[in-house]
Amino acid sequence: MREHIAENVCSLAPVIGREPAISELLPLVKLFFADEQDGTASIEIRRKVLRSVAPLVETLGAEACGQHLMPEVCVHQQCISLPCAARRRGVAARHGIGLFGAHA
Amino acid sequence: MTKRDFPACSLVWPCIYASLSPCPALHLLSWQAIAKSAGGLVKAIGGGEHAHMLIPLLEALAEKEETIVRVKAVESLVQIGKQMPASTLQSEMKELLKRLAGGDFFPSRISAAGLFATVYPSTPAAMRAPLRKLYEQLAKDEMPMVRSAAFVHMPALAAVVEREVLTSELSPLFNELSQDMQESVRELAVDNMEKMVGLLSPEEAARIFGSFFDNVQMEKCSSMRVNKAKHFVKLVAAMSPARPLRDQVPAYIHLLSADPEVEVRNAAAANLGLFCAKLDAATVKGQILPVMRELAQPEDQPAGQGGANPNQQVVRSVVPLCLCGDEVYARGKCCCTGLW
Repeated sequence: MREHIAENVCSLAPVIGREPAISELLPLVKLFFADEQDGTASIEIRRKVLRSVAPLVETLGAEACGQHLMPEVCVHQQCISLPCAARRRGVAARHGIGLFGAHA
Repeated sequence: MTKRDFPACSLVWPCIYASLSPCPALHLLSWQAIAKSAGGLVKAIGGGEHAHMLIPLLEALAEKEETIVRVKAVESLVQIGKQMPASTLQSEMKELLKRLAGGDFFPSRISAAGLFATVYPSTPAAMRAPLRKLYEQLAKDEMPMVRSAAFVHMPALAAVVEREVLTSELSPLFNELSQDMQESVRELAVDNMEKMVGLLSPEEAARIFGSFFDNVQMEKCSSMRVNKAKHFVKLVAAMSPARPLRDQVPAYIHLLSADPEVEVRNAAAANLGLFCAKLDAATVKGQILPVMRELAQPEDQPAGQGGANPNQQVVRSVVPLCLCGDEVYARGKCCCTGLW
């Protein structure tokens, strides 16, 4: 159930808009990133959030994303495997690699 | 076999027919293989005009008790029916359909249900009503398996009948079969609705399927609720704006968070993004997000409850066993040490 929620949480951003996305969705994304209930499940949940993060990034814009989202991603970057890194490159291509470089 | 080898058919046919006799060495797999490949023989026997030659063979297979053989035989009959001229369809396939539908033994009636959609389009308008009556008889057959077969093939028939027939004759049958006392029959209803809803306008879809769709929520058969959750977005979108999407939010939230089956809740959760994309921001913020926040919290339920994720359940079930095993192992070691 949580994996499905994690997979879909970012797709709500374009529907509710930028400010509600910051106040409502980012706490959920952070919750999923910080999830430590058990190893395998939490890594899969993080992967699912990151694989579907694009709509949230598009809605927030580079600045808000760098301020609110990227610090959380980078805290947990050791748990993020190559497929997620590859996904992030797609976002980087649209918003500039500096978005990731600043927090790496 | 190629068209050039057509005379070879006369040599091959007796062998194929021989295999249909109840011989222990040549049963299920052989019949299944013959039933499956017969549909591809139309070219080899000289094209669609000669396709009716395959009917006696496939009729014998369509009457078999073994489901897999029957299914393949009906698939082959549908396949050859597509290549037959309309006149042959009427003279040969329609007669076969009547024979099968009137069969005393239920397997032949099950097979008949799969042929209506093949025969109906080439049937002259004046002769279509008796054909529909025959289908109705199968849909009301005393054997649940026959009713189930009629229901399985309803979407294919719905796609070829006239629109008024669909709304006035097939929809009452749909409602009857969707409330059938046999779970094996009515569990097909949501899938059928999903296949048929595209043939109707939103108003017609809402009128025909609306109350059924609402009632699935309270259905005992969990596979129906799973199918509702799985197809939820497509079904509500097809009935919108006659039934506004916003009005469907409570039903969705019930499937997502209150259904007793985890499979239903998961199927609803998988559609979360898709459903929210069709709603307005206020509805998502006011009704969906609070539920989502609750469901996103780490689970802290004891093993055995539907909400716990499989990993937690496995860990919680296995750890006590492992500890118990250690204890036994340690005790055994002590005993052994003692003995030695």
